[in-house]
Amino acid sequence: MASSPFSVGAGEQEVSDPARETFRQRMRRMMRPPRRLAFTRAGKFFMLLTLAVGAGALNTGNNLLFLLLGMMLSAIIASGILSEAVLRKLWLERRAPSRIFANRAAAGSFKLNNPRSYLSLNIEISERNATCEVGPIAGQEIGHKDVPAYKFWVEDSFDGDDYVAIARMPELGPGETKHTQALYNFPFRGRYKSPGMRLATRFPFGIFHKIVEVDHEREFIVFPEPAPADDWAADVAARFGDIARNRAGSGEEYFGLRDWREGEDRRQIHWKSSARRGSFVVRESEEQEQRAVEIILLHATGHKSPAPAYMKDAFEEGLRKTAGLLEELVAQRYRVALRTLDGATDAGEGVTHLDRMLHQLATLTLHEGSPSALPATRVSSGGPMRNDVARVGIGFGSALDQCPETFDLSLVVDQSTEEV
Amino acid sequence: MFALQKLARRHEILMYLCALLSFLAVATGGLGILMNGFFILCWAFSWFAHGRGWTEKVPTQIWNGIILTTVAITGAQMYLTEESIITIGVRFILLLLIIKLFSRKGGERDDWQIYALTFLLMAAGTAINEDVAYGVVFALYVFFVTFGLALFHMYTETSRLKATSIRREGMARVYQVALVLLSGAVFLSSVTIFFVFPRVGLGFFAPKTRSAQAMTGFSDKVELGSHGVIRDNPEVVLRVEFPSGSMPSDAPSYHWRMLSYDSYDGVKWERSTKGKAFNLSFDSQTRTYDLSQLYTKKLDEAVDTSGHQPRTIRVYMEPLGVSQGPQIWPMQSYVLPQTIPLPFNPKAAWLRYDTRYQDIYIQQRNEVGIVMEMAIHPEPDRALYEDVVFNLETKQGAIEFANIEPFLQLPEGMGRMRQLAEQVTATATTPYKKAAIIEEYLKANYTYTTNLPQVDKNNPVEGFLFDSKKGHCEFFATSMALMLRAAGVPSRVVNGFLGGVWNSAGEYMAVRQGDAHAWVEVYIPEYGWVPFDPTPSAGTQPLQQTGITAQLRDLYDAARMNWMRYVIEYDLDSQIEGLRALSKMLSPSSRTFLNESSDAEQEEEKPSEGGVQTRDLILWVVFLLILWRSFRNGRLYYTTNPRIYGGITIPPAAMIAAGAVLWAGLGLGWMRWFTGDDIPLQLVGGGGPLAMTAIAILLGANFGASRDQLASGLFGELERAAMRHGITRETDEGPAAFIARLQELFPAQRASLGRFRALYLGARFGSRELSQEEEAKMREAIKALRREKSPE
Repeated sequence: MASSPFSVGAGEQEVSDPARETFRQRMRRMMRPPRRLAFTRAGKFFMLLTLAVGAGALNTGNNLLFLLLGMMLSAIIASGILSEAVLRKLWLERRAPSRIFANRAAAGSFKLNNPRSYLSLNIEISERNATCEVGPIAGQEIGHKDVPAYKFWVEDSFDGDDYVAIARMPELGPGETKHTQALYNFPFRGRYKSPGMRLATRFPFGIFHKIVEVDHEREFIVFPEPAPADDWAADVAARFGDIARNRAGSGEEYFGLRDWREGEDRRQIHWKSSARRGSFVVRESEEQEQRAVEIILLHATGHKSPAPAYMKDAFEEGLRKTAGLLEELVAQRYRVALRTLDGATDAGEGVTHLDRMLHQLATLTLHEGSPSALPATRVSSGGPMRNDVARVGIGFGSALDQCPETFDLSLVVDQSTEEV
Repeated sequence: MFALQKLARRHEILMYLCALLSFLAVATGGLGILMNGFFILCWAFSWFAHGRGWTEKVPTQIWNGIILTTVAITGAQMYLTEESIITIGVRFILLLLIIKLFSRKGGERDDWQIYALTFLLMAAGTAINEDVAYGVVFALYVFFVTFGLALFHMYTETSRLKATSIRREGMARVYQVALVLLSGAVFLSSVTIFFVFPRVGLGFFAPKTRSAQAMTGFSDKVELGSHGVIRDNPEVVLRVEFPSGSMPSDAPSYHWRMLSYDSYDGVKWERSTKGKAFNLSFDSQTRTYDLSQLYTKKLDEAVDTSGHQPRTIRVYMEPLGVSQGPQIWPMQSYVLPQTIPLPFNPKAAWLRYDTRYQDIYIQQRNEVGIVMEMAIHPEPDRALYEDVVFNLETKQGAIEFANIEPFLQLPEGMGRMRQLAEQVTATATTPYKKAAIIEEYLKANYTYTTNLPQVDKNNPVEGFLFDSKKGHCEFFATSMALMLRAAGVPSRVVNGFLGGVWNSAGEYMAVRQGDAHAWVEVYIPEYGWVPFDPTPSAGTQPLQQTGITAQLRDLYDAARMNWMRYVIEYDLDSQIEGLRALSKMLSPSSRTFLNESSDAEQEEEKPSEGGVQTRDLILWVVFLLILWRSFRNGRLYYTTNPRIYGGITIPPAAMIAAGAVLWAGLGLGWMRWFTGDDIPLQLVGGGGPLAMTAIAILLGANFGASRDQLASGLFGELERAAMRHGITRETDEGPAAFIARLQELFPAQRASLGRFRALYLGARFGSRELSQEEEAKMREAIKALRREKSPE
């Protein structure tokens, strides 16, 4: 989803697709007040003191207490007006990181524009709590736990690192646009949905935290954190030779064009392209020695009963290790294809291809029972995987045993321990 | 650079000032000079100690130990001493503040606690310091605490960012100017809330009251010689405003009668009976007590025949701790303030009258100051009753004399005094003449002094008359009363105040405790009690002080009076009075919504025919401003696009209709309020806004423009903005080429103009609807272009 600028003025918030909103979501959006206020610790005491002074004034009729009450109420009113002035009509954009790994901070940024003729101070921008849709914590929210305002006795921390992403901007001049870096933190892999962002400020006295929620949905795919998979990589290398190549060589497949160098055989010059370009170029062919691996991930328990917790942990550990293996294989220039029970990624190379496979890993779930038929993968656009491709099966021992397919190499995910 | 350290330092200074101010708010509350001095010393020392880091090494446990000890000592004080709980509490908070000032480690929490303690002190100050000084301290406190808290916030936020400075010097300056404005705004808002907040104090536990002044000379017994003690007391008891705004020439001789005495035992005056007091009836509409009903028939006639109109004065009486009300002879009426008839209204007051002593009592539920109006007649011509004598032959005369006989009481002995009375009054035949001759005799032969010479303590009057021949008003008054009694004329001594001094700062006459005075009332048959003052003029001259001290005192008293009247005693009555005044001011027909004034008043305040009232003008301007504001960017605010409110789509036509009905209704209601039931004017009021809306449509105010028309309009605005820089579009130049040229001329605006072009072309030629945000962006680009410097 492309990020787009929008105003955060009240009533002007965007919803990515109102048609897809459920009734509950819609009601929640409509019932939501345009601003939320939270007390800071000092603010709670300030409010209690104001209430006490107000009660005293009303009871005794002491006018000096009314005067003091006037001052305290004025401070509250000033807080309301000035914090509103800080947040009003700001334009906010999100530049989310393209690759996010679980448990690793990923750099993104927020872009804030102040189209008004006065400055804004002490602005806090954060990603709202994201809900995990697919993944080990599916259905749960991650991010800062908001303390309801009525629970004034519960101390709320606004400095916590539990935000999905948070950034602060001490000042934003009139007409100014600024970028501020924010680190995105997701503890687990999966597909998350963030409803939007929030702008907040404690200006001017630090007694209230005024929050504006900005509706701007975005989906985040969080890749599993790659775990070291040297042993698995060594097994693959031992079985299929050390080097897999994907480089220019003496094959027949077209690899690319490059400038002709002095001293090279002129017969190699590709005249048609040279005429087009106005300089000599040479046509290169792909080396045929490249090795291809097909990873077949059997994300099934192999049992009919629901998976116990330790198995789920072991599954996550297995995924992390698989991610590590994929990273390793791509780094060693293997052509890698990934086949799971839910889908398949055709063989390919490079970082973009790796991301495609990690994306697939990010959204896997552990199936119950024995692994059934697996979808086919293709080595290239030309046809199905060739027979010389190494087929590596990864899964729990029970799943590998029950799988109808045969593998050149089976990598068993250890499920003997509950600790991951 | 606006360094973090600088920020911290400034905040620290302001925090210390807040601590000092909150201390000043309670300093007068009986803490004692020792505690006050101790606080100031610690306050100053903690600043240096903290600056040099002396206290940083002290472990927290020690500070906690000190706090616990303070708590223990405070607890012991509460149980073992009879000191007021408020004083003990204030002292405790002050000690906590001192400990906090020393022990703070520069953390956010410590500083918040210091601010909280200063708040508590300010709150405690309201219970022990009701003087105008609190007001001054409060004003300063509001300024410093607002500034301090805002700087504190800035400091903590900046520290949180782990930044060492705020980027721009300019911002720091802007921020500080804004803070000064903010402090001012908070102060104004505090005052506004103070006046507007409904005073519905129920006072269940602590009724509203003020500490009364300590008065001497107004008890049931008065010993001779006590008066001189209070002669120098400048404390003001009555403040008198005259309708002319200046002091009339006879005002210094006003005798403010408070209390009379009938029995003298040779040493002191006292009241022989409790008296017979009853509630006086009053006009419930105006709260006027007609005192002329208490006159004798003859006096009433004398006042009427004098032909003088009574003079109305406004008297503000401080709480005196006594219930007697001041009177000036002969008084026409007494008006007490209008109060809300609620059982808990602290200002509710009513008058009682003592038929034996002719004293007036103001009964109040609580000890608060009271503002009243008095109508006073000039003294009737004394020639009228010069020759009147008791007519004991008639039944009425006999009854009159029998009633007044107790005022002939004399102590045993005092033969010399009786003899002197006979001698002095030998030539006088009537009560009045006897009184006049004794008055003159005492004035001529005796000297006024407050420095009393030694006289016989058991017989001070004869000591004064025959030995010292010097004394103050009480000696003169007592001597005259006793001599009159000896001569067979009923008389008594009255205590009260004489005259007053003019306070030019507040434009009122201040009657002070030092103006306390004693004089004599003589019973004149058929006319009643008539005052005589035998004290020589030296004793009746008010002690008018001059010089800068006196001026400052006047200024202070004027401020104090206003402070007491408008702040300390401001209440629901005052609020209702204010609302009445406001509604009167806003309504041209002078009708108030709270209380319909009488026809006569309405007649009096009717605006002049034909002229435009300022209030009408103001309201019409406001009305038109609101109407003008409803047109935004040349279009009626509500009507450009269908809007979605809570999922319900409202078409433009419905919004136009609703808006029109609203406007017409508002206009009609307004007119009705102003002009009453005048149908043509109501039609103007209702039809005016409708007509204006129609004119706006007819004039093509871009009303209901479609979005592509909007885009053309915006492009036109862009062209006009370019023309400001002398750039015009060529006849063969398309919009895109024109904008491209502008982009080259204004490289800084390249991006915004590019966006403008894309949006304009999309809306104008691509059938694309401009969203409000896109429109805003295009307007931004136009604005930015206007602001640009013209190219060379």
